[in-house]
Amino acid sequence: MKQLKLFLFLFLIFIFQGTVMMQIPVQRIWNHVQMVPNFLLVAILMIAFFAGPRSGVQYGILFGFLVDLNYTSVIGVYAFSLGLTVYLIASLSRLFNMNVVTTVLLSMAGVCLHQLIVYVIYSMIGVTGQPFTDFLQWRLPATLILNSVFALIIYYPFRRFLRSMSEYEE
Amino acid sequence: MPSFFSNKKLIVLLTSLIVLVVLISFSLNQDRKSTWPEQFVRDTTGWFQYLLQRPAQYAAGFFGNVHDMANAYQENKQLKENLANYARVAQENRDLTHKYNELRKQLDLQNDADLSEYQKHTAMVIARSYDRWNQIVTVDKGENDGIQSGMPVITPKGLIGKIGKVGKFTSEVSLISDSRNVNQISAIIQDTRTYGMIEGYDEKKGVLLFQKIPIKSKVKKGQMVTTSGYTGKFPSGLPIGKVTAVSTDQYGLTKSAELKPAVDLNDLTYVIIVDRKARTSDTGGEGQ
Repeated sequence: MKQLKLFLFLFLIFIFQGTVMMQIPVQRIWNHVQMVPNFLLVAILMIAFFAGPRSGVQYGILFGFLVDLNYTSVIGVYAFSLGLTVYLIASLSRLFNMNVVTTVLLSMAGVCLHQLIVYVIYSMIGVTGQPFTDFLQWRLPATLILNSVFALIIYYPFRRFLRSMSEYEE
Repeated sequence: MPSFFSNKKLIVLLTSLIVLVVLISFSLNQDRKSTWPEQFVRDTTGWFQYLLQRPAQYAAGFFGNVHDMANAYQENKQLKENLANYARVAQENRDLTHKYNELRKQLDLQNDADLSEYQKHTAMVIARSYDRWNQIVTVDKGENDGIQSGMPVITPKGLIGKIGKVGKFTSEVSLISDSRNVNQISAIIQDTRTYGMIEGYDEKKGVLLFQKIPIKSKVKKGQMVTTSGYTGKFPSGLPIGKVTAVSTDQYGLTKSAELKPAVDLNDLTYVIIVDRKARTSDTGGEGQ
């Protein structure tokens, strides 16, 4: 039951990113700034932190494929990148004592890593022609701000939910 | 301290890299039709996207209206000026249409579809890829509504892209701002009948690249460029954009120009999918 709730929550975020977030006219006002929602990654990272890295990686790959199929022209890139990012950041998180600050910081490291992996692969296969300086200057900072705000919003309720879930499983 | 990569994990990583390369090369094949699992996943999520997009669009529309109200006075002034011309243009249009049809009849052409004739399917945009790299929007019409891959997609202002992959109830539109060079379109400057090709998009400047224009032709800023009707399923006369800059290409053999798209590609709610009446042999009626 909890697993189903979790799945539905992630699915909702997944839909939300492509519909509601696209109605917010950031790009129309500031032409250069690319504010990219990576809420799905932030939520999955929190799953990996608080409910176990294994299910985190599984959700990462599953939803990566969903993103690939629905929002991109190339299959596999997001699945690979999400899976790898969640695994690496979850391994890194074992060195830290998890609280609000470390969670948000690690999530942001994850967002950076994820964006970078996808950027490198997309540049290689020619999906994007964005110069690297533009990527650093216009894309990363705005993206990090947007996602850290999201991480702060969901941190407390989501952590409580995940903690109760891991107790339930024991 | 846990080690990041043990032997087993390295093998898993390498295997997934191989799978990734295989999947990418599989999906980069552009003529590929989408397989049924892809269609199924897309149609299912499309249904949920539709549910969430509807209220979001209403909300966005409300704020848009507030913004519009602020500009209403200025706009009203301009519209009144335009309206003075409207009656005359409408009458002229009726005259010309009548003459045109008469002449076609005399030439015995009335049964052949014209290059500019098309049938419209209106569709709602239900989602958009949120990384700005993929320039893809999803619309709520698919195979069951007679949509085929390769059909051009427009708004009342002009061309925005063409249909990519088609599902049963949804389909993907790859926008003209897609930097993968898939959208090569034959285009024409209407007043001077100058032909050229739309080849790609400059992400940074936000302009389309209009190339292979004959070197002797006179291209000026502000000229309107439309489709010529000689590419795939594109009918003629769909506005693409206005010329903003002209230069000679790197070999000095042809001219190239930059076009500002006629449509704001960041603000799409409803689109029109165009089904051309005239059929050509290579694109055929069925499939790709």
